[in-house]
Amino acid sequence: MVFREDVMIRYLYPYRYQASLAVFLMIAEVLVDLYQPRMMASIVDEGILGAGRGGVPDPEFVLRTGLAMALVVLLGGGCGIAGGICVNFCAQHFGNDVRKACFRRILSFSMEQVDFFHTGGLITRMTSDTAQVQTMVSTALRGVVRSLTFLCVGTAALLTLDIHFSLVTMLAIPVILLEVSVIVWKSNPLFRLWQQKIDGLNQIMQEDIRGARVIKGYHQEKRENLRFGVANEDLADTQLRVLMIISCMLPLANIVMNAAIAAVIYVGALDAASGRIMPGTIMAALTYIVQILNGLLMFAMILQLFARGLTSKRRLQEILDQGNDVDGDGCALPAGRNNAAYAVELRHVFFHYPGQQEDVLSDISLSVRPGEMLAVVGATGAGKSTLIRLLLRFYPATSGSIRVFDTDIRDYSVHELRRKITVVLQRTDLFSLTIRDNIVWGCDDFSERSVREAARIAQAEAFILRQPEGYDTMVSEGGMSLSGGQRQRLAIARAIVRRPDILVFDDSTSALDMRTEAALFRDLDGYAQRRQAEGHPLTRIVVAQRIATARHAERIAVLDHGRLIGCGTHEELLTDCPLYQEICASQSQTEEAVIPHG
Amino acid sequence: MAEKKETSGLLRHWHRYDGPAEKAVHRKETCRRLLAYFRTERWRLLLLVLIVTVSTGIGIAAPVFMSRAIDAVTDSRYSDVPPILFWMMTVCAAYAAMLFVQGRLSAVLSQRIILRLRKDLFEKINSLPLSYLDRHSHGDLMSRMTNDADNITTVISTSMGTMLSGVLSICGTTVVMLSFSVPLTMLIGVTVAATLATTKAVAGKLGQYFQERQELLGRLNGMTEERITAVRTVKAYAREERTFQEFEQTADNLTGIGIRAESVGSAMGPLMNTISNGAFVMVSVFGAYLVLKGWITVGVISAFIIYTKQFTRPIHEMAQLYGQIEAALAGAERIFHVLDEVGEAQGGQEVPSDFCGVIEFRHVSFSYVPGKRVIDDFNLIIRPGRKVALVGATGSGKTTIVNLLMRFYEVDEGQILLDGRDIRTYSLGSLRRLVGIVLQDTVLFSESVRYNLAYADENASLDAVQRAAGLANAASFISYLPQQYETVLSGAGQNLSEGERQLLAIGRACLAAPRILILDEATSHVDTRTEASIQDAMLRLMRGRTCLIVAHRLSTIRDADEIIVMDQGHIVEQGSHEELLEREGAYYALWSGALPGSIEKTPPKRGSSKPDAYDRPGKSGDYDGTQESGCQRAHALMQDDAESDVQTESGHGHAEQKIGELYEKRNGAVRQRDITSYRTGQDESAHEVWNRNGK
Repeated sequence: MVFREDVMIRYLYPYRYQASLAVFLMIAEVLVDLYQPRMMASIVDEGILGAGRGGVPDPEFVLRTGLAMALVVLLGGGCGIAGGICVNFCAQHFGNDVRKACFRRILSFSMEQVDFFHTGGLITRMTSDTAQVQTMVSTALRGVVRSLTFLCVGTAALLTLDIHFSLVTMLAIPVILLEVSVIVWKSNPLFRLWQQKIDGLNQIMQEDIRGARVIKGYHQEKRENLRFGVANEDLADTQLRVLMIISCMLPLANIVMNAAIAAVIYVGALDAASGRIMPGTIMAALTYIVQILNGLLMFAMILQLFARGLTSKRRLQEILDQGNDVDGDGCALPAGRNNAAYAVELRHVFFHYPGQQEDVLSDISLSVRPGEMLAVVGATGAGKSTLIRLLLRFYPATSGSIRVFDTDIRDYSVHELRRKITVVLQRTDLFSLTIRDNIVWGCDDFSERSVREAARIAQAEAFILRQPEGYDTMVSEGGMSLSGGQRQRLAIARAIVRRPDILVFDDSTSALDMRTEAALFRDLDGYAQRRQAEGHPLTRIVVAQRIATARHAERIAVLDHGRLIGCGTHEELLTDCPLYQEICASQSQTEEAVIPHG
Repeated sequence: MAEKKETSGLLRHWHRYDGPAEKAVHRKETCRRLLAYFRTERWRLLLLVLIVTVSTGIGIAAPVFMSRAIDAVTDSRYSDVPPILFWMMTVCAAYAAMLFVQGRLSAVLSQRIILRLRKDLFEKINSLPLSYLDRHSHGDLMSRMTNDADNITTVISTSMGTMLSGVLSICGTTVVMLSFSVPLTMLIGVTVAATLATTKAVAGKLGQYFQERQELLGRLNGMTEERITAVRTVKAYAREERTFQEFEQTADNLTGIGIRAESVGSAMGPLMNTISNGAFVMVSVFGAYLVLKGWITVGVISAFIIYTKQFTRPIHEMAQLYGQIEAALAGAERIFHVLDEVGEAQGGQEVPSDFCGVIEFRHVSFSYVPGKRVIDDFNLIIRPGRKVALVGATGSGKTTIVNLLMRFYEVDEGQILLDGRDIRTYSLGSLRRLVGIVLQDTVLFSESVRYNLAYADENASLDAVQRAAGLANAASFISYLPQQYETVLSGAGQNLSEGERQLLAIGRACLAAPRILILDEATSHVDTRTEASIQDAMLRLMRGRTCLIVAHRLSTIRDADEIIVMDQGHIVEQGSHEELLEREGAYYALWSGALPGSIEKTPPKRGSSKPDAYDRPGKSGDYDGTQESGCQRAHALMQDDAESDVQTESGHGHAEQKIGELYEKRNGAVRQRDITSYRTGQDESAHEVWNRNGK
């Protein structure tokens, strides 16, 4: 197994004092546990059997030692509890730090990196893997320290007690170690398989909850149950195999342990016969042996836990090891220049997705004046959304330059750039917050008035006020009360309330009916005029599939297979651009033509 | 027999859980229901109990040999030692064997039980009505399966044997200890009382902390899921910092409570240890006195020391397991909570095979949230074979009508009738089999393309699947996939484009060959060029079927026999496309982009750039009247607006002419294609497929 230990350990470093204290306290607790048998032995040997006093029992001694033992026990307990607190302090803070570091890292991921991990994968890593790693650390601190101390000190104690006993133990330890390693070696690959099966099962579950309408609509519940059943049995099978292997551990260890005990008694009997030792010593030795071997077993169990924890650690490490891609910040530039000639300017932009050969965009040159509204049309896969992604620096252009307000976007800090440009993405993400909080989610500086205004422009106010608690209605995850169109309108309101310099719709009105859409663009026009009057022109870029949507714009850019094949007003395009004519015709046939107007 | 009992048991619980459940009852109840899962495994369970009993017995007996051996050493009877040890080893070997069997048995038991629990849970979730799924967090439901079920497995596989042998060894040890020395046993009784008192005190605190922690953890995980899913939005809005701060706050809170909960939990171990060590001290000291008094032998002390361990260990272990068991019980309770939800109505009659298919909505009212009616006294009759389109502003209740017809949701008032019979009298399965549905959000499954296409009929031949794909224009992109129809769509088809996903969904509906077809804004994601070609397939699919179409696009609904214009749950207009246009009411307003009563505010672009005299062959005459008024409005608009708009006037006529020509050309092409497809018999064979599958 190849993994870099250092990165994860770094997160434990701030808690090194607490961790050392924890180790210290736990060793103390174990020492107390180990010291007791010795006191016990002296009670029997000196107190009862009167060793060193010619066989005269000494009740005084028994009482004194007993009291001392009681104090030691209390001390041990105190150390144990304090140690536990230290361990938990370290482990929880460590887990929290790792979790936060991962989350921060994910937030700074480039889209490429997000695509690579898939959001689903990132979520599992964030939720279950961080928990696993945290558990691993607390088990390591507690369990490993405890078991190793038992092992070492027990062995040492046994050595000082009597050399013969130690020899017996020395024979037992390798046997148990061998057993443990074989079991770990056997079960390790199964653990990974197990994790995969769990993932598979969850995938089905997730799909089916999400796709409930389709499953019910096609009445395929039985089939889905069957599909799940197969995965379910598969998982249970794998899990059973793991458990079966582990089930050998305890009985085998038990046999070895008892054999060692028998051997110690036998050796002890021989030694006692020759007068080398007292019976009390045999009893103490027995206790030590049980402790040593228990320590070993504990250690083995912890190794088992580690197998899972290390997999999780590796998965988190992958996140933390990711370097910064495009998101490396340029220097922050002086804010908005309204006298800029162009709000957005693309010069010979080429782009292909990393790892792919084919250009998604080739040689795009395009400019948008401040305050202008530009529409981008084209078939699915023409590169419209990609264009927006480049503009936001989700991906870097392969070649060519993109300038915003006459400055190359690479010279902006990403944050500055994205404060200037606000995009309503194709996919509307709403959060489990109130409607108001969803609208203001994207900005720090807002007033109730601006929220209302944004909602009104987005044609959302009417339906918001129809919600049970108006703006304070929670948006539930299922979005039961919100339709696709309502969600899109909330997303648009969220964009408007930010008062961006450049507002981009990436097919953001696809779920709106024509009337609502028209009203939206009408109100947006009004808003843009007000902004113009204030001296802060609002530049708008609208990616659309419907010509009807695009016609709200002053100019329309037509993309086809990553090339800009036309740009101009609707009328210009109708005369010059064959593809645009074709798109118009197809939509006119289906949509526009039937509407009579003057 | 056992099965029967179980179901009746469950039924009883349903009733019990109907009312507000008190907290105290829950735990017992949950245990009982969890135990009910063991009922079918009762022979295995019995065997396990038997083995645990025997092994515990042996475990208790083993120290007796040890004590004898030590006594023999103390009394200098050295020759007795080897035979005693021999017997000790024999017993130990037997013990190990028992442990082995016990481990395997409890593994099998736990897997069999968890298998059923997961199965029940999944099937329940699958049968839950959409009203439940829509209202509950999906992540939360998921964690029933992942965390809660997992916790239960762990407890059953590891803790059950421990618990069982713990209880048994406590009892057994007590008996043996009593036989050795009554006073010493009494002494240990004191430690038991101390243990119990401590456990109770700690457990109370622990439960409270654990619950708090669980809640925070749920919130954090929910937040993580939501924010990571929305990572594009977060980045596009440059909200990383605030998102992180929100996350950090919850995470830090969780850490705080986590430290408290875990510390209390981990204090349990040292506390128990202290108590058991205390017992150890007491046994040593008092034992020594008893030996001095001559009441017991040294060997008895040695045995007692081991018994003390043996006695306190299970208590100790059970206390350690407390957290685990608590978590598992809480998980089980949450699982049972889901299982107690009432699933969709089962039973009902089959729809008769000779049904003719008149759908009638009679005074239907419905609200998702009490008091907010989404559908209000809705009346509509759809005759078989008719194509009815539902249009209206977003939120006017179109999709709700579909939800009600599919019985995804049940009507609050009124009835939906199929051939004059309330659809609630039919079984859900037979009702839904009649209906094919293409939804706005495409749902695919992480299985092969073929699986997805043949979703309605798993026995569909590859031929039928290919034909369905062909009809939906999906065949060409499928042929580019690595394994064509056998390509597994990883991540539920995430790497397909939205358009491709939708084509697959349409193909799926093609293969289903339903009598009634519901298209819910089905083509809103497909680009218009693709859409145009889908229309051909759709038209063929719709032929001879009753269709209910929900869409914003005229293209999808223009050819409908009847168009229903909805607003806030009411029907405001009803009629054919032509009729409604002539009426110049809500429908007209909807498509001309104008708001009724505020026409002058219509965006200038739309009015001005629309083809003025668009010559649709054979139909242009119908619109003379409306054309006039539309024209006037557009002109009125232009005067109001900026100059750039007026610019568009130029080249206007030319543009129109161009469109006209193109339209003719295109129309011809479409017609040509239709003819070709008829000639090749593609259409016929597709119908065959449908008919075959229709049965």
